[in-house]
Amino acid sequence: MGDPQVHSLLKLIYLPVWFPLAGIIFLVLPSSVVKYSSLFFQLVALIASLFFIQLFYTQPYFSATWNIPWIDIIGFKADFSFRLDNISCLIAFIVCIISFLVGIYSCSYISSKSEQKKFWLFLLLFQFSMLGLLFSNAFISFFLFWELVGFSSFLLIGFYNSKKESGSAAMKAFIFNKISDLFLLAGFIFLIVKGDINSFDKLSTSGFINSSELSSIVPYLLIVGGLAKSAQFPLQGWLPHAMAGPTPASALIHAATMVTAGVYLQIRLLPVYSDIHLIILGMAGAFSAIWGGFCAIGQVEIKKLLAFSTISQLGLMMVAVSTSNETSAIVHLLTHAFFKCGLFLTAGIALHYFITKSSNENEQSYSKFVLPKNYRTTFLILILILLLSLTGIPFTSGYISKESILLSLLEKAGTYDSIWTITFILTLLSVLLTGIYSGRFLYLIYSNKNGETTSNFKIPFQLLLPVIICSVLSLSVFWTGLHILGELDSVWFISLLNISVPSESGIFAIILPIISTLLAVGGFIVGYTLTNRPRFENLEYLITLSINQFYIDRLYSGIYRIFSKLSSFINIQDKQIYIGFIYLEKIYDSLIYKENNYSISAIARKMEDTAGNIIPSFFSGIALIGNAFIRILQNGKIQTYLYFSVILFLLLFLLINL
Amino acid sequence: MMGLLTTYVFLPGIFILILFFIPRDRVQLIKWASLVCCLVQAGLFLAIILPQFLSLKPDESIQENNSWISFALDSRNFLEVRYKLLLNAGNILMVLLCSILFPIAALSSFSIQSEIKSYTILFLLLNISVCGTFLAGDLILFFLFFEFMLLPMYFLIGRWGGPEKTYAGMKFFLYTFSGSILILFTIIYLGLDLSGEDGLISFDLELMSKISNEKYNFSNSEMSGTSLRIIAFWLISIGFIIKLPSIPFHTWLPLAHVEAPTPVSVLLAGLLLKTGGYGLLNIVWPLFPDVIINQATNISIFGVVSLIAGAMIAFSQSDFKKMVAYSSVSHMGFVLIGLGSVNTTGIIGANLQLFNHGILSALLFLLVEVLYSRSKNREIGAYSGLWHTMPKYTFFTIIAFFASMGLPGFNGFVSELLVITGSFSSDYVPVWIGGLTLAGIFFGAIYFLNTFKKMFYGEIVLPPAIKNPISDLTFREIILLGIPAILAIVFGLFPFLLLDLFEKGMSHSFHFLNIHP
Repeated sequence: MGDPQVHSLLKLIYLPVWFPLAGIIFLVLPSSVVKYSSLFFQLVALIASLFFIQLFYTQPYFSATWNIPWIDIIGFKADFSFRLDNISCLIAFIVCIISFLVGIYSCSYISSKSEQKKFWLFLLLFQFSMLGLLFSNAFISFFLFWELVGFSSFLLIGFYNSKKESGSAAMKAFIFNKISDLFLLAGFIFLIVKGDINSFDKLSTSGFINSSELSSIVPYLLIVGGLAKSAQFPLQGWLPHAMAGPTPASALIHAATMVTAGVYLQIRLLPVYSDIHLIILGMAGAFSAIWGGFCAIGQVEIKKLLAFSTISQLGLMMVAVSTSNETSAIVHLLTHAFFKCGLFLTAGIALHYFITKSSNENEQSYSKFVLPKNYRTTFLILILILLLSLTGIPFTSGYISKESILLSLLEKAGTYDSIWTITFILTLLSVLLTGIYSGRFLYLIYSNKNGETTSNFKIPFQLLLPVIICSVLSLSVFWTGLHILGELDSVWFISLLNISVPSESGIFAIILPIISTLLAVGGFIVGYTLTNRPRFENLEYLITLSINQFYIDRLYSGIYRIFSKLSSFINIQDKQIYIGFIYLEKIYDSLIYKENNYSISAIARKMEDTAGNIIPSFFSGIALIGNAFIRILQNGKIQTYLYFSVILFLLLFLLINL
Repeated sequence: MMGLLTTYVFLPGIFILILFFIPRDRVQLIKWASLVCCLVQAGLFLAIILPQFLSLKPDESIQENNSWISFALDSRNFLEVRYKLLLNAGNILMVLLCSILFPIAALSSFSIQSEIKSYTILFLLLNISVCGTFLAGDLILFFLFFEFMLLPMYFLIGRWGGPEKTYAGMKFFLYTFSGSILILFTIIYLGLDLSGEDGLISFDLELMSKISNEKYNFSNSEMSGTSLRIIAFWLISIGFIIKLPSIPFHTWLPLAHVEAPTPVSVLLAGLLLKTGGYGLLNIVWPLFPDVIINQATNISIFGVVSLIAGAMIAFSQSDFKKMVAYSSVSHMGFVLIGLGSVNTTGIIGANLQLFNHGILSALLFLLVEVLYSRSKNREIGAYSGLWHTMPKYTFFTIIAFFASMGLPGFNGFVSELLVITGSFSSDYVPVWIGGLTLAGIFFGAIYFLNTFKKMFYGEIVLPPAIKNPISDLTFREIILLGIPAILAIVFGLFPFLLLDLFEKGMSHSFHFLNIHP
């Protein structure tokens, strides 16, 4: 214990990673105990992550690395390494707390006994791989957990396996992620092979930018590599479909953890990027922010609305990363995790309990929900806090992060390329869109006063508690203490990050918050009041466009259809090669067996059957000639065979003497 | 005294002799005899041969070297064929694979219904010839074992197969036999070409590769890469590629797989295909160090076409077993790409891919058998919602499919990673080969996921012939599927267990890799 190195390595034993894994092992217990044991391990993981946060308070520059050689051959070396540092610990804390809240929620939500074990297995596997991803240092071990996250989200999205749609959604999610993953893998391999860099901590010290061979392609591979996981344009199409999974899983995967992995990756890879790459990253983020915001407006299903909102907010985080201001990206990641998780969990309760009794689809699709009297005020307050935090109104946590993103972007817009100005305007527009769809979300849930719910009920406390916790944590008081209008540097965990916070100054630091708040509030009011008003019918085409997500799904399915057409074309050609070989074999047959089963006319007939197909025609042509030749040869006279063999020997002789 | 390796190879021969004295109606006894034989063989390898191998230095090998046929051709030249078995870094993985797959196949053979005795005898003959192929250290001996494989295989497919068994058996025979002729031709050419100064025409592989390295190394450019050598290279390569198989020489494979009984399919995909890759890796590559460098791109293109087209054809299959068969074609593309990269990483990756695919294809074919044994129906479209009725089966399918897709944590990923790395870092292959390899992995994911979605999600639909509900796995099936599934995970998480076996020795035996690392 005396050696500080050993001491720091010992700490890795209680990395939060291991506890979900232990939880998986304890799933062998009888199913009545399973949920308590799993919750217990989630709680321990949470406590462990808190312990590390405390550790970074006392030792701000602490870091520890743990290496296990995994593949070590000549020409290629891949380690398996964990590394503890401040960013990973902070995000691990978010993952642990959200997982724990979702765990409490799903104890009540997944009621069927038979499904419970399966759900916990997938959930804990997911948490394990997500935490592993955060603590991985070497590229290859990062990639392993990165893929495992994709795999466990595949399982969670496809949880309701009796529905074909959830299978399709799961498949879609996995395939979109796979596209990105392969780009990422290519980028990592280039870094390992050509750059001799095999872990994140070596990136910053390696002087990467100087190597022109690498920097011409690798950053682009890595940018694309992070897109799909964070549902950024153009690989965002999987996220809305992924809502087919159970709501707690959606809250976990699509609000707080998996989707933020892409942001986390880009934060880690910042040393790789130069200005041009950051501009591309920023544009992708800003465009996704607009796209997600716009598509969210048209949605009628509340979970889908939230999914698009997630795309939009992740876009904001990408923008923050692209301004090299990782602090505000991390803060937004944290605040977003809480309010989005809260909203998802609320949506889960709504879909379970608030559905109107006579929900006639044709009549009025907007008023699907009705809040019962005894919960009306409670839920209004809860939802309002969460939504205002989403839009970024002062006194909420969302305000802190959103303002800091906008400010750092404005700073960029003033100094660098004019393209940053476009990014800035797009981002500001997305703030307005956020306001509109938030208002609409409230309308969808709250507006219907007269309907009757399916039954007289009491919402279990296990469902309510996580929502309440999320709402409370979405207030800025919790994060900034007495700095009520808090700026970024008043957030208590900033000191953990050891990153200098850009200090905003000048007139814009005052004006910009006012502008963005006005935009958000205005949007919110517009969204709430104008939903379902007939006089905006001439905007109908915009709404249609929004609901259909600019028909981008059709583009995807078109590509898929082209792929399957091409596959079946190749398959047919393959079969025809095979048919062609059948013709060839018939010559062979006629050589082996004396009688000629396959007359020329029969083969000619076959040729007609497959007329127009190049390959069989080619082979049957050969067959035709060969067959005629064999007919001459196979006349039963011994002399013919003798001549034939003499010719063959001569040929062989020639060949050898060449 | 009989050597260890000879004992290992010919152990099934003793059991065949015993089997002659067992009456044909003692069905259970015969089945158990074949299982015991394969287990004893595997035990011999794992308990005695493997520890002995591990105690050796990386460049040493376990050898049995006896003179066998030798005569003087004329006053100067002397021809010698040796009975030489050796176990070195090049074939240790394949022999390990034999020891894993033969017991599995023997256990799976318990479901064979008719003519058990002749089936078992042929099965054990196949065992001898496959093990002999991998262990032979003399090319003529290798060729004898290699050819002898066809005999039991032909009868196993032709008698115990499906409806088109005769045609499938015939086709299998003709194809691989034509490949063998090409191989024999080249072996003779090589024997003459690589004879030593003293007039000794030897087919000893170690000797030949040593001479080949001296004669055709990179400094000796006028001798290297002549057109005759290129022709000889492609003749023998195509001979092995037919066996591998790679598109366009693959058409025998789906038919043979679909018609063959499942244990034979397991061996066919798991071991017989591997003899093709083994031949390329251990015979062609060491003997043509000059040609592989200028043909590297062509070999890689073969691999890429096989990988991508194989995946696309697999995507449009409606028969589960055919889908799996084409996935084999696709995965063998990785072997060619790895070999084509001509560097240590790629070649080690190719060798590892042979092993990993052996495990995974066995798992996949056994999964097909589970469904087929219940309903005699292999159409993918005939099943839906299996997750709900067969959760254990689903568990193993998830492992098999995702491992085959190359999910990290399973063994497939390690070899694919090495192959891609090898290709990207190769001096002889353009970068786009590596890029297309990645695309091939993507296509692989599509067809596996598509099949999974169709069969395991949705409302429960089963073929009409089946009695509802379909039963989940039996104990025997769990053992059968469990062994390869556990191995897939163990070797995926701890690849160094395998790599340590052969990596050092491999880079030693491939002399040309030392020149161009």
